[in-house]
Amino acid sequence: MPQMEFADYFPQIAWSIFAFATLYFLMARLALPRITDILESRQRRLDQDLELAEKLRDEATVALAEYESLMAAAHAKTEIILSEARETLQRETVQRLDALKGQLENKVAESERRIRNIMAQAVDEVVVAAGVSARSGVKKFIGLEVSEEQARAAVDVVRKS
Amino acid sequence: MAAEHSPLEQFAIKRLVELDIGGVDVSFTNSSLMMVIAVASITLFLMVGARRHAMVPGRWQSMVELAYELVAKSVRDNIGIEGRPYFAFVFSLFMFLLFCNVLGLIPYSFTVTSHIIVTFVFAGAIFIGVTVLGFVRHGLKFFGFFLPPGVPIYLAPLLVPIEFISYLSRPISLSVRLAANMMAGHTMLKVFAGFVVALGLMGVAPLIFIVLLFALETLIAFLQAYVFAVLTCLYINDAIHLHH
Repeated sequence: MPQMEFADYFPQIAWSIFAFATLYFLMARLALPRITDILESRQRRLDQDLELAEKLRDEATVALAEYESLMAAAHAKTEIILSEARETLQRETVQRLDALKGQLENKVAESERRIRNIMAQAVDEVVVAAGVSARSGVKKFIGLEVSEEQARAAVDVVRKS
Repeated sequence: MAAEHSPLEQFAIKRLVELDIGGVDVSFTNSSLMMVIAVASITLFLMVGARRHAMVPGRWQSMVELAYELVAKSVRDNIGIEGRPYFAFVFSLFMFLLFCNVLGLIPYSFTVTSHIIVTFVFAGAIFIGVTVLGFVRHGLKFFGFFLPPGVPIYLAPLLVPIEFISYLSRPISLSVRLAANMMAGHTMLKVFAGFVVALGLMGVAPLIFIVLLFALETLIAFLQAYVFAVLTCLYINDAIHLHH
């Protein structure tokens, strides 16, 4: 069994130590610092990117809040303007309606007065005509001359009864 | 079966260059060659993979980062923030064992980690290092490690020897686990490869088996390197934090 050849032990021990010492030196001085550097720079870059992303997200959050508050203010303002316009409109409508109503009432009152006048005039004329016809009737039937006042009084009596 | 066709022949150490320093045999062997290739491959793999600072890594860079993160996570999870100084060691250990295991799977190559002496060099170094670390950080209190907290004192004569033996057996279990896994796997592959040749046309059956076995061995090559690294983390953690 070659593993038990004691004469071969010394070269193997010596070369194991030599080879491993060389490897350790190469790793510790050359390879590992380089790999560590690569990994660390990547980690740094990742951290930076993450930091940047977080900052941008915060900024976006702030901007969104700002936008929302602006929108809310605008909404409130719109509401005020709208309600003002509504009120103005209502007020104006009421005013115009009132004015129209007054005009109409005036016109109605005027018309009524005129109707009353016309009616009164008509009544007067009827009364005069009645007086005239009464006088001529009386004269024809009994030959008696009746004065205008008497005839009028007689008509009034008849009219009011 | 002739000696050169033994399934164990693949583990033979061959001296490529005879070397002798101060009476100690330090010949450059096929094992040494594989170690050098492993070290060179690891360095190449990492340096090429990490040559560009790509924000979004390509395939190669992803593999490099994956290896790094795997070990980093093991160290972090098992030792915590105090494990930072040992990261380079655990990483080198993991990569070295992984590459030795995987390169050993290439036919006609040599599996460094199939030799118990190599794995024992690492396990022993870790054992000594961890023990020294424990004493440096805790002084004589480190002996308290052998008496788990909350244990009645009259159980101490029983538990302390058990804990002590279990502590001493760490480097053995650590090294044997890896070497035995590698050796068994490669021996099995070689044995079944022999069947393929011996059975002729019927050799298709062991060939299919070899393909499946090879997949399993690849998994084991990775897993054993990982287990070795994680256990190293656990031992370091024990030395730093004593009990939990």
